[in-house]
Amino acid sequence: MIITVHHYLVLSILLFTIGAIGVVTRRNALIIFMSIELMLNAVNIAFLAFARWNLLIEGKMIVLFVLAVAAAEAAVGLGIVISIYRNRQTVYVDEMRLLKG
Amino acid sequence: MMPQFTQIDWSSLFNMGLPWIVIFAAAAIAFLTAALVEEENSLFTPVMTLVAIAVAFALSWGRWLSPLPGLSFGMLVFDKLSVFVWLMILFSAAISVLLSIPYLAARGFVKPEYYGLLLLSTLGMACLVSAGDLLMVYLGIETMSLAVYVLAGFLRYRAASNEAALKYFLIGAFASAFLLMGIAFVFGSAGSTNLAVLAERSTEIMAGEGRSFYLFGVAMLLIGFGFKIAAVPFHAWAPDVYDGAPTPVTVFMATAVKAAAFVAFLRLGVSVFSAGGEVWITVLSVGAVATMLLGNLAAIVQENIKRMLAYSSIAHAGYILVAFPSIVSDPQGAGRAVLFYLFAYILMTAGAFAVVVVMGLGKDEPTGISRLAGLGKRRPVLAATLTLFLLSLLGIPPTVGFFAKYYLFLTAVKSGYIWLVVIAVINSAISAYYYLRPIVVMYFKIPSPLVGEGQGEGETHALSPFIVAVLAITALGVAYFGIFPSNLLAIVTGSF
Repeated sequence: MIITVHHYLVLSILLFTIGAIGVVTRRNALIIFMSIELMLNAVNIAFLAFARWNLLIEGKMIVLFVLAVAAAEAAVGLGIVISIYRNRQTVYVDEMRLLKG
Repeated sequence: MMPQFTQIDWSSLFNMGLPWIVIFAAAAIAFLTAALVEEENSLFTPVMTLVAIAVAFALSWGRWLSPLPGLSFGMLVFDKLSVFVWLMILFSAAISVLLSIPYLAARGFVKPEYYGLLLLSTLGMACLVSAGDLLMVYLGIETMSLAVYVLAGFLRYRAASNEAALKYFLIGAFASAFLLMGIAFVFGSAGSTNLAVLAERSTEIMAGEGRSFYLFGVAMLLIGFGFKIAAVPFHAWAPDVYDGAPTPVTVFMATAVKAAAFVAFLRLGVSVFSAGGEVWITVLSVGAVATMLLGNLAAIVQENIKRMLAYSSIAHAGYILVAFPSIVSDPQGAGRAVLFYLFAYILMTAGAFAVVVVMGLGKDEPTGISRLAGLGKRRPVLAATLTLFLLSLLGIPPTVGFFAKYYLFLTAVKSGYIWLVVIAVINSAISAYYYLRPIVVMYFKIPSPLVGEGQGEGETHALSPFIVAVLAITALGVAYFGIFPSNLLAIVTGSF
């Protein structure tokens, strides 16, 4: 079997969907964040597949940017999770109901 | 294809980027101050921040006035539009700084890094509004948002602030994943992420075999932007985050962040929507109607003025979206109407939130609407300014809010979306209920001390000069551009 760009895209969209379902269904802030990371990496696969398909180097360059931003995002996100854990001793988002209406 | 290296005129890039460098330097100084100096209740950092913003503002204003044509560096575009919006962003950043000084002082939580984060976020917005490439849009949005996530949770001892930060962060990161997926598929089908190239090739791609990828990509981009501008059905985070975040940060999110995201959306729309217009027209009009209706209906039942203003900001995003379908047939008219509206919206929202800052200067941030009872007697001037802002948000002439809505709806009518405008006008009528209610409470309701009405703790203090400055500037702006809207129209026409 020859692996084409479409196989990669199917893989990418599958991973992206799994990540999105994880964000919607899981209640632990850390797991939600991991699911978002999964979505970002699914996007990276799509970028690399398209870069190869179009023979354009830009796609590979964008992946580096995405990785760097994801690292920064992880730093900020984990900081926020830690500060909320200090106040509440929980990281479950369904227990955060101070703000509603 | 061989990689092509374009020659970049470094000296003019430096010239154009000079205001950004000033802002970045100020941010660096703020962080260094935080690390090196034991600074308690000092005015050094906020004043330095304000000076940097003023210098950047003056430099950019000179650029806006100069008759030279805009410059494009591929990824960054410095035209009148980006310079004008950057000026608006600097203005609302300055307002947030002014409001932050008394707000943080009242809580004994004065930290220099607060202002550094604010400046870094402003820098991200600069990239966002000048973006000529989808990659730059992504980087701008991320730089802007990462700083604002932290700012939303800045009062780290307050559980509501933590919660707002976490919700904002998770939803924001979720949204940028969609945005990126959109960029990937647009890149795959068009072979480029440059907005100018996309504008040229759109029609060709839509006719070719890349059509389905391209449609999917743009749809994902729409979802990503929908989250950022809080359009229905991607709005759910906005009221919670606006409510929980420190009020000066809420001002920043409601004005600068929204304006930057909308202008980037506008740029994207101008280059992408013209091909295959019907699809996007349907999506955008449905989105506009849903956003207006939900924002206005949900605002009616709010008891907390901060949440009410959050839903009102969703409704206003809906009004702005009314002009977006017109991009296809009349990009210039739609762009101008959106810019006019954003300018007016920044003035009146910042003013209204400034009054909320005054109300919430106490420890537990009492921002219930019933707290306003009797304000008309105790603080006549403050009550009058809040009335002016609320009437402007409602769109009563002669305030700037009326003309902003007028130009927006006029553009939509000219392009033939009369049904959309009818719905928008009905929505404006609905919004009268919740904008007039605080006014009625302020002037006609007698405060009953038993339930703590009319005892906003902050009201007992003398107004801080910084808050007075914000109220004066925004109230003057709302009144001046309400009486002479043609002046603002001339500025906007020169920008797009």
